[in-house]
Amino acid sequence: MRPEHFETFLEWLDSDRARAAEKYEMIRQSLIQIFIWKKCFDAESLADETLDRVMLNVPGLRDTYKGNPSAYIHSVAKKLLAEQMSVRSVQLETPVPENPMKADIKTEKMSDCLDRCLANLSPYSRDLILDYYSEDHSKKVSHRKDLAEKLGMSVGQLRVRMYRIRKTLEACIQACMGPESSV
Amino acid sequence: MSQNLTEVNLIRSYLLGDLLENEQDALEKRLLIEPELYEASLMVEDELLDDYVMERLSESDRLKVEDGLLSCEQLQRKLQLSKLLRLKANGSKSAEERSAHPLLRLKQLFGLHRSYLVLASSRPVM
Repeated sequence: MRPEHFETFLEWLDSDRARAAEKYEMIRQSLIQIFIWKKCFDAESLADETLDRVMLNVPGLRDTYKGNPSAYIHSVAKKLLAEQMSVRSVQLETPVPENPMKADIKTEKMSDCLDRCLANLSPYSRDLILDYYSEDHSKKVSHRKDLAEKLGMSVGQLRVRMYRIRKTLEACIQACMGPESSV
Repeated sequence: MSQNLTEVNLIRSYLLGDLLENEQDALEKRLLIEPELYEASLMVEDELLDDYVMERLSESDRLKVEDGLLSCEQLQRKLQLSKLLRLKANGSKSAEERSAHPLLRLKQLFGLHRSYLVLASSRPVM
């Protein structure tokens, strides 16, 4: 991929360079997530492959293409996904099970890291996440509503709060476990 | 960041593979350009994995999660975190309960045997 392809692509996304860069990041992250949800093993490479293909085509279509670039990017991602699925059905991938001993060690390390990371949280956040996961609430279908009511917040606010605490924990655990294991 | 119930249900259906192809496409196109929807989808993903760990899903939804989301390594790691959090939450709760119980607190402090404590506690107060 040549740098001018990337520049043309950014211009196509938005005439403002900073906004275009933000949009590029957003699109890349979302593509990775979509490929993860579609059971793709190397979601990051597939997202980059999608964007590479789009970048190569942009010079030829930017003057004629009408509509939001996201629709075009999505169509390229979908085509790539179809290609992957057909390759996968031919190869019939058989995932190699992880060595149970190694998996146990990993879980143990993650558990130690989680202890450390929980200790780094504010007492309020720590109590909140432990309360959220405690047996008392977790079995009930209405547990989110009950907990939100107890805390005087809406279910939506609780959802955002939990998401942020989890994000903090995930980042902390990843740093604690090393770069090879992202949560 | 606010999500309405319809949006949450839509994302949940998408993650469970319950949407029609055209509905999936429409949602995915929006995901590429709507940061709020993208964030909301990650929250719903967390909740779905929590519901799986906490055994709150119906049998059919549980199978959908196992066949779909859990075939990805990234999501297996997230699931592992939910499982560990559940373990710690229940572990810390029982530890709290133990330390909150006056007799057991005494036992912890003095290393006394349970039967002695029971005997001591049943003695009439003079």
